[in-house]
Amino acid sequence: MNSIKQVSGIHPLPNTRKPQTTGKTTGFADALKQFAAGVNEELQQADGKMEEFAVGKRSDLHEVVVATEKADISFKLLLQVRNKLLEAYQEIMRMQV
Amino acid sequence: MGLMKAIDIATSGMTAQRARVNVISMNLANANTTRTADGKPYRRKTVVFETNAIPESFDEAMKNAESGQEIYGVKVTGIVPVSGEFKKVFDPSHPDADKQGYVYLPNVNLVQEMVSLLNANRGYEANAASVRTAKEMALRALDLFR
Amino acid sequence: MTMSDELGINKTLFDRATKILGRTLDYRVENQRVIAGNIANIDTPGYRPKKLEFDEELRRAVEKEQIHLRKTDGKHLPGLQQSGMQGEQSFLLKTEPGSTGGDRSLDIDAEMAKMAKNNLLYEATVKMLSKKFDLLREAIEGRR
Repeated sequence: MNSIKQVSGIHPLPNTRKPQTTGKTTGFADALKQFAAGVNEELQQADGKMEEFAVGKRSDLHEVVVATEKADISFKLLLQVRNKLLEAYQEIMRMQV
Repeated sequence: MGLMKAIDIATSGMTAQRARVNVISMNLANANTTRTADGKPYRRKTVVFETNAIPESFDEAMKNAESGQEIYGVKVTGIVPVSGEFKKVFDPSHPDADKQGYVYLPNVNLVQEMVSLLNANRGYEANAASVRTAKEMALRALDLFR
Repeated sequence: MTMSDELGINKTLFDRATKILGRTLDYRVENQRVIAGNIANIDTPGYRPKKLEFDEELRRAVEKEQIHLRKTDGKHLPGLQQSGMQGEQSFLLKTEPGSTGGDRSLDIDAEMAKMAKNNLLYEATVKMLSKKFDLLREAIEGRR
């Protein structure tokens, strides 16, 4: 009768490399947050320029118009991105598991 | 410095040209005046234009002073008599004739005045066009708002 | 209290810039009337041209706030509330003092130019206000 070799404990798997975590997580969510903050900033700036023009402190109309339009377009872009994300999410939710 | 300033500048031009027209009218009306308040014949007058800084807000004045660029309008600084000989005409029957029978008439040249009048008018219209253009440009910018 | 007051819409939905633009619009409309009055009285003997002043308080408040805003949150603006934005205040109407030695203190060209400028600024204010409402509507409707 062979001696049953002592069953040693299950060896842990050889050390698989852990995923490297860098300092910054640049996920899509973060990028979106940054974009939204940027758009908000643009809108605030455009607002400020509008006020200054209305009150008479600033006299260059074209600057106000351009700043406002740029902020507007950025905002529309953000809105569309949000819509698309929402659509994608809903589509995923609809998937039969 | 916006288009508002351009309107102010052009307006000063219009005002100046209008003053010029007034003076020319005065010259024309008095082209034959042999006696004025001081006893002498009417002496032709002309306007003196001078560059004139347009009053602006304090911020703008500071900015312009820094960048060294100054934009001026125009201002009438005086209505001055023009030196020159009076025209001498022999007419002993005239009430203002002197001992030799000569009458002194104003140094107003009708043709010259009419030409000045046309120029003043054209100047006025040009400035009005400036105002209109400045306004149009601003409205164009506003069109960007969709 | 109207429904919108109860819902707090005026306080939250319409931001400061909208209110300022609204006030400016009031000013432009009133100014137009003053200038038209001046022009109508071009030949009236002894008439002194009138001038409508913009809210000096409001202007100063905006100037101060703009520097302040760069650092803090935009919605928190205590200073502006006291400058009469809440109530209906009429603007200051000033009569220009008589100029010494000037036969005509009413320069028709200057008044016409004032009218042109005022009209321009009125258009600008209207379009800006309309733009702000568009943005609001867009944010609310959102889905396209």
